[in-house]
Order: sequence, then C-alpha cells, then structure tokens
Amino acid sequence: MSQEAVVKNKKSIYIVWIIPVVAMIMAGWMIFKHYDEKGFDIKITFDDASGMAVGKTALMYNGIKIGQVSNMEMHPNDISKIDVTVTVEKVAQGVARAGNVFWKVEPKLSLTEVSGLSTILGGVYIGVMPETSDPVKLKASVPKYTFEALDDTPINIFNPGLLIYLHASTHDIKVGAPIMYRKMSIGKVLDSKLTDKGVDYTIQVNNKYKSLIKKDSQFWKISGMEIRASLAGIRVSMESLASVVAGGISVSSPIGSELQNKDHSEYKLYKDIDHLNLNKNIITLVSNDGYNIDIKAAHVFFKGSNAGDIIALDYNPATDKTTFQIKLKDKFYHLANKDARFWIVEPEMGLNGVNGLGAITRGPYVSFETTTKSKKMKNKFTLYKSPAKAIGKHFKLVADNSFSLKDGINVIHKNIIIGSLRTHKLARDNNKVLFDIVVAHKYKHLINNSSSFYIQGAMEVDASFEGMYLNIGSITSMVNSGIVLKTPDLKAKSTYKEFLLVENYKTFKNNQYTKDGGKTFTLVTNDLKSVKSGSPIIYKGIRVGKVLSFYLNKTTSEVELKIYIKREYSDQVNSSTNFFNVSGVEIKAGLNGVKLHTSSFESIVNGGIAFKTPLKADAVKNMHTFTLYRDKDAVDEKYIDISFLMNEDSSLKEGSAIVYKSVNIGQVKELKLIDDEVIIYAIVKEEHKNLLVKDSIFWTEDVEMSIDHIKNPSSIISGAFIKVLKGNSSEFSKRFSLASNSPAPTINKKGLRVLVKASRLSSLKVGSPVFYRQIQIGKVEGYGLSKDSKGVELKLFIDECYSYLVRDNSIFYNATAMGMDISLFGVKVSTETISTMIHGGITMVVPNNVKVKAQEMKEFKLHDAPEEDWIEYTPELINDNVGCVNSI
Amino acid sequence: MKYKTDISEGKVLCHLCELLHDDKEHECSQCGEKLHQRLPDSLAQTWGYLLAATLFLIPANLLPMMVVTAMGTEDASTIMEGVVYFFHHAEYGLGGVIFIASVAVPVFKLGVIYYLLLVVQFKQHDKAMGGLKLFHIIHVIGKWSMLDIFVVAMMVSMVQFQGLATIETGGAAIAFCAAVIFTIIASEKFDPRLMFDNEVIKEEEVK
Repeated sequence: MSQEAVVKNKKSIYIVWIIPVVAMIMAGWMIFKHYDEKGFDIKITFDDASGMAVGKTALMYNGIKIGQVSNMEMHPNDISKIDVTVTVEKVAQGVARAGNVFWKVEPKLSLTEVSGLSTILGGVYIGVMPETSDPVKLKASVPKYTFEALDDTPINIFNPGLLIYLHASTHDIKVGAPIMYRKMSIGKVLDSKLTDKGVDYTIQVNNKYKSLIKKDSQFWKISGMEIRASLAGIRVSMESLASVVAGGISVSSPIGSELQNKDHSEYKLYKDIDHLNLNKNIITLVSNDGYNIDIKAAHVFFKGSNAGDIIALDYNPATDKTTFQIKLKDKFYHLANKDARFWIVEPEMGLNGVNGLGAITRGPYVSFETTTKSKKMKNKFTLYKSPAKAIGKHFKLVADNSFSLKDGINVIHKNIIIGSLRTHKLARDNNKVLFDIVVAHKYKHLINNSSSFYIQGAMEVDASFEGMYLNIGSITSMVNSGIVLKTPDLKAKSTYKEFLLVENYKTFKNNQYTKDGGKTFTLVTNDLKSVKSGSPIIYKGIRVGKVLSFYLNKTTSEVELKIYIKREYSDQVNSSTNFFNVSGVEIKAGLNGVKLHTSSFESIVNGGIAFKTPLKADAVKNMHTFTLYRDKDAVDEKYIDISFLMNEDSSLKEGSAIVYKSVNIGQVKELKLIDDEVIIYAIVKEEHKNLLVKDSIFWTEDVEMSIDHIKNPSSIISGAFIKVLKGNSSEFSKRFSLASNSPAPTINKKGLRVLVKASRLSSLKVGSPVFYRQIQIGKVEGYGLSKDSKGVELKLFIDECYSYLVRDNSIFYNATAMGMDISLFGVKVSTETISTMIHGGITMVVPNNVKVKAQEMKEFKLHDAPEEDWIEYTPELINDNVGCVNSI
Repeated sequence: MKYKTDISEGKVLCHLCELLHDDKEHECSQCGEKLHQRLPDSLAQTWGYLLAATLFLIPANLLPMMVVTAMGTEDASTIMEGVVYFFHHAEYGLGGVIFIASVAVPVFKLGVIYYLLLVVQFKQHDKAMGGLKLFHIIHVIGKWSMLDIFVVAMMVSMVQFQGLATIETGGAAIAFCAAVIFTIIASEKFDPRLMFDNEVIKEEEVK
C-alpha cells in the first residue's frame, strides 16, 4: 500500500510564540503609558484651602483641567497654611515654571464682582496663570515645583487692560469700584494700598477703552449719590449703582490730547469734580494792602455771583505789596480779560451812610467786572479800592428798604440792560435806603419825570379778576433781581434827580391807577353790601374805575365811598348819573324760568358798583357826591307809595308783586300790624299812576286748583300777588282795601245785563258761562236771594258783541243738569260742556219768532231744564253791532 | 505507574469526531480530519498562551478597570480598589463575587495550567488523575471570569449622564479580557493525555 507523505509543519512552534511576545509588548506598553501619563507633582501652599478635596479638586488653566489635587497636608513650618500637592498632566509641563501664579477659584457674588459661579456646582478649583504673555519671557523661565498661592484672582494677563496708579489723600474707594467715563464703566479698581502720603489705587482700564485715557486725563472721586442743595434748588445725581456701594472714580480726558499708552502711569485722584483743574484759571492780584481778607472764607464775586476763591496771600516786604492768588471758576475765567477791573469791597461807615453792606457779614471780598468782551486774557491785575467810575449818568433812587439788592445788578428797560446799580447805602437822616444807579449815556434820555422804578423778581404772578399777569424777567434778573424802569411818557421833562423805587410791579401798578387824570367821586349809601376797596365801577359792562376807599360817617350813620373813574370814561358821569350796587347775584324766579343776573363774576366776589347816565346833563366836578342806590330797580323807576288794608289772611309778603293785566307794576314793601289790623305798604311804579284811582279794585290772587283748571300756577313759586282792576274814576288815591276775592271779571265791562230768576242756585256761580248754541256769550256776574226770598236772582252779563242775541222772548235754562235718557235704545247723556257739568251754566235759546232786543236789566225766568222743542229753534239773528267781529 | 493508553493499545482517537482508529490510519474514516495521536504542539501552544495571559494579567490589575466621572470629578479604580471599596462599604457579597471572579479564578486557572504543564514536563504520573480533575474544573469555570467584564460593560452602557455621571472603561478592562481569553485558549490547547504518557510524544517523521 502507498503511503502519503504527511508533511508536518515545523514552524508552528514559532508562530505560537508570537502571541506571548505580543502580549508582553502590549502589556508592557499599557503599563508604561499609564504611569507615564500620570504626570508630575507640584506643591502649592494656600492660606485657605477650604473647599478643596483630595482626588477631586482640579487644576484648571483657561478652563481646561490639567491636574488634580492628590494630597493635602499642613505646611510643616506654618500650621496656618496648607500644602496642596497637585498631580499635573504631562502635557501641562509649562505649569511648573517660576513666575506662574496659582489661586483658588470660588464663587464670588457682590455688587462689584460676579465670578466663579461655575464652582457652585463643580466645587472650587485652582487656577493657574503665567506671569506674562510674552513668549520670550516664558521660554526663559526656570522650572519650579513649589509655589505660594495668591489670595485673590490676579489680573487676567490675556486681557490686562491699562494699569494706572492713582494717588489720593483718603481711602474711600473700595476694591472693585468702577471707573466711569461719561457714566459708562470702563474699568475697575484692582487694589488699594496705604502709603505715608495717602492712598495709592491700582486701577485697570479695559483694553477696549484704553484709548480714552490721555496724558492729561483727570481722575476724580465720585461718591455714590450727590445731593447739592442751594437756594437755586436741589440737585441729586448718581453715577451708577455700583458706585453707590463701592464708591467710584470718574475720568475725563480733554479732547485732542495725547494718548496715554504707558502702563503703570501715575495720576492724581481728586476729591471731587470741583477740585479739578487746580492749576488752571489762576490769576494774580497785586495790592497795597491785605485788607484783612480771610482766604478760607473770601471769594471773588462777579456781579454778585461767586466766581472763584482766593487761594493764597503773600506779602512781599521788599516791594511792600501784597499778592493774592485767585482761582476762578471755569465759567468766569474768560471774564478776567484785559479790561477787567478788580476791586476790594469793604464795609464803610461814614457821615453820609453805610457802604458795602454785604461785606459786614462776609468780611471784605473782591469783586470784579469787565466792560468789554475782549478775548485777550491777562493774569496779573491790580486790586483797586473801588470799582471803576462808571460811564454814564448817575441817578438816585429812594426806597424804604434795600430789598436785598446786590450791587451790580442790572437796570432794565423793556428787557434791555441799560445800566446797573453801583452802590447802595443807608441814609442816616431819614432812615431810607439810597441807591446809586448808573445808566449808560445812550439810554439816559429814557429817564424823565414820568419815570418810575420797581424791582423785578424772578417771576411775578398777579392773578385777579382782571386777568393773570405773569412776568418772567431775563435770566440774569432771575438770579440777581433787577430794577425795571418804566417811562410812560417819553416826552416828559427831566428835572427829577431822585426817584422812588417801588417793591414790585403790583405796587407800581396800583400807584399808576389813579395817575391818569381821571375823576374821583364820593358815593353815599346805607348798605355797602359786598362792595369793598378795589371793587370795580362798571358802566355798560366795562370796567371804568374802582372803589378806592370807604368809611363810615359817624354823624350821618351812612357809608361814604371814594371812587375813581378813569380819565377816558370820566366824562360819562354827569349830574344825572345814578350809581347803584350790583354786588352779588340777582335771582328772578318765575314760572317761565329762573333768571340769574350778575354784572360780572368779579362783582359777585368783590362787589361792584354800576352807574347809568339817563340824561344829558351838566358835568360834575371832582369829589361830587352821589347816592349809591341799593340796586338797579331802585334806580330805574320812581315809585309811589300806597297802602292797603287787609281784610283777610293771605300769603302776601314783602316783595309780593302787584300785577295789572299781567304786567308787574309794583311790589309789596312791608306788612305792618297796626291796631290789630294788617296794613300793607307797597310801591307802584310811577308810570302806572293812572291805575291808582278811587274805584280801582285790588284783590289777592293765589294759586287755585280745581278739577278742570289751575289758576295762577306761577304763584306756586312766587307766592300770592295783588291784582288790580282799573276803576273809571279820575280821583287819585293812595289808600285801598284789599279784597280777598277777585271781583267779577265782567265788572266795568261793556255789555248787556239781564236778570234771571231761578228757584235754586244749583251749581251756578259768579263767572258761570252763558251759552247760545254752545258758544259762550256771557257770564253770571252776580247773584243773590230774591227780594221775596222765594228764589235766587242772578245777574247775567252778556258780552257787547252778543247782546243782539238777547230778545224779549229769550228763554234761559239751566244747562247744568245732565240729561240722561235711559231707554231701550241706549243711554243718552247730553250736557253742554264739561265745565257746565261742574260749574253750571246757563243756555239761552231764542224762539223762531224773533222779538225785539231785550233791554238792560230785563227779567227772565231761569228754567231748570230745556224742553224738547227749544233745541229745534233756529231763528235768524243779525249782528248789527259794527264794533264786534266774530272772528273764526 | 503505567497506564493503558491509546498509544500502548495502538489506537488513535480522532480529535474531532472522536472515532477510534488504528494508529496505522492517518485520516479519520468518518470526518476526514487528519489523525493526531496527541494535540499538535500542545505543550508549546499552551505555554505560549499561558505566558500571554500571565503578562496581560499584570496591567489588568494595575490599570484602572473603570473610570467614574461624577459631578466633574474623575475616579479611576482598579479591580482590587473596587473589591476593597465594596468590602469597605460592607457589601461583602458583591465584593466577594468580584474578588472571586476577577482575581481568584484567573489566578487559580493560571496556576492550575502551570501545574499541569509541570506535571507533564516532569512525568509525575502519580499526579495525573488529580491533574485531570483539576483540568476539568478549570475547563468549566474558565468562562465565568468574564463576569467582571460583563459588569463593567453594563455599567458603562448604563451610566452615561453627561455632566452628572459617566463611566468609562479603563485600560485594565481590555487587558483583563485578553488575559481571560488566553487562559481559555491555553486550557483548550492542553492535551491532558500527555500527563499519562511515559514519554513525551514527539511527532514522528513519516517517511
């Protein structure tokens, strides 16, 4: 048998051994790598390692973990410190270099700093930062493995910003306080150090704002909140919230100056904004005398405003001169030009008065002014004893007090400055204040005998019924007050040298009022009502004058008023003029409405007097006396006094009207009880004199309400009134008796009167109608028992125009009774009119065979009811009275 | 002691289908596989894999098995550190299991195979029966060493809360895996019949 060759592979032994070899390599490499990567250790000493944990706390650089705390133990030499061993990854070899700084990062939350918030969750960590970002320096640094940790976060070298040192005298800014430029935070205070000269602050300005800092930038402290209260007002300002807490520093840089790009440059930190520019605006005054000026308190004034301080005083014995160093405020610096003049103001008491009043309290001070707007500046001046002799004309003003006016304030005319107040002093002899004003030559013609001066305050408000007057002077006068000149008549003579200075415009105007040449009159009255001083005098609605004053004349027991009528209206007053009081409100109430009348609103409050001039009469002289009437009505008409004897009670009262044919002709003045009888005194207008005849009938009318009508409804409001029916007599009478009932309305009327006899009155009464064919032709005028008392006699009045209807055979029947016919066909109700149902009425019928017209006072019978055929009568009757027209 | 072995009886066992043949045959009549008296290169291969496993066990114990990152802090722990941790927290059961599965068993396995190899090398026939029993034991429990890896794998896949807690495998996991796999292969490559042979069978060179 053939045998196959069995090839055996000898090499298999070797292949297998690859595996352990590979394994060895791999294992070895893994171990090696593991230990190699472990990194190296560095030791950092912390003052406070709270929050750190072994195996947990990381070392972070720029947010990357590059190591971990592997051990923590007390420092061998100083037990207050902790040595923290950090195992750093190999890749972060650069950590172990001299110059690197380490610090603990923990959450910080305050008004000035918010940082490290991520550590709230992740735990604190250690931060590392190289000393500088300069790569050259970095390369040159030596390795180091032990470090001391910083107390606080160092400056971020990658965004260092500009570091500046500020020198200040006191420490009131906290670390972290903001640096503000135009109220924007551009950096912060990093550090503060006490030195023997004061305090040094290190501030950092963010990189992007570096260019704002210039070589002559100025830094000053800003307190959180600034409150400046002065007479001009209160100003509260705040830079930022952070500065309120931590203080702050503000910086400003003049435009166009060089950039500050050097790190660690040094500046001075000023106390506040007012202390800046300490070296600017300095001028020197040379004088012969020091004048006892207290430089701490003394100021320099310009037109009464504080313009600067006197900062130094130096006496030079060689030249025997005193030099003052003055620092002017920015606003005023430009005024110290080459034409400026400085003088010292000292209190002066001499024979002619007291000068320099302000200096008495403040001590001597320096004042200056300039006459030109020249831009050429000087910085050395002579200090004079008095201001320049002003160019212009001098005038004197006299006033009762100085009104706190300051020397130098302006004299204004029509809002143009025409001069200024030079000085003022107390006159010794008459206790008045004399003011010396200077008016520029070109304006001196404005002052003449008609001129008056008054002081203008900042704002003057005068509100009255004439209108509101608001005057705001120019801005300077708002601060300084000003003297205003008013010259109403430019053509007047100029002889006066002294003028009166009045306190304000209102006083001035009041003085002016009576100066225009009007007239003054006297009014006499019993009752002033609400008139008072200043009350207007009104003519045809125009205010033409006012009440000047009034007083009670003790002898006549009357009030006398002095009034003034302005010139342009004074010729409206003549001897026939009547003045009357229009104070308050006049109310006339009637059913047609309530009428409210007042002369003017002012007269309600202030009272008022009006006048009327009914006739052309002689002019009156000044101080003529007039009577002041109670009211308009008293003036309008002349009245006649009459009296009534009252028979019955009524609701008449004072003011009740007397009416004739619905025209008001008078009114009741008063009711008097004499001997148990009521006498009514009334007045009637003179024009109605013709009513006051012997047989005129007066009676009271009051509201009457019945089912079918309301009589005198207006009396509901105005009360009862007296009505009059004119009599025919021509005899004038002043005494009447007052009837309680109205007379028959038909009395004295023209018409036909007839008599009817009835068995009973039934519902007939005076005024009951008489009908013919249902048209009223007359009324019952009166009635009474018949002579034989068997019946009632009624007097009928038939109207003139219908009197032709009454014939000898006319039949009269009582139309009151209602005819009611009840039958199988229905109820037939017949009546003449509704009123006859109530009041009764008489119907007349004329039979077809017309007879002659009835005579006056013919007697007829009054039937109780009509008969059937009477209604059928249709006679033809012709009206032959041409005076009457029956209009349809 | 002399054993009746297949060599002494002149028989050969197919290592694949286990059909008995005469030692004259070179090919299995049933499955066609080449007939080997003993597993080829058994000793060499076993030694090789055993050494690899041993080598891998070193990093498996030195490197961290699991890196737990909780709240920003990393915590890497090796197998032993894990066991100690559990024992420290009185989790004796858990600690015990991990210790047995990750430390005791692999070491035991390696030790046994070393012993068996030495038995063969030094013809310690009297130890053969005991060795056979040991062989069977490690043959069965070998795979259970992967328990620890399984635990790590589960933890890694479950605890992935970015920011709060994450678990990642450390280098030891791979090394341990390799070690366990190699011990399994090593035990597979070892032919226990070698312990009963009088002589070390060398591969015949067939004419």
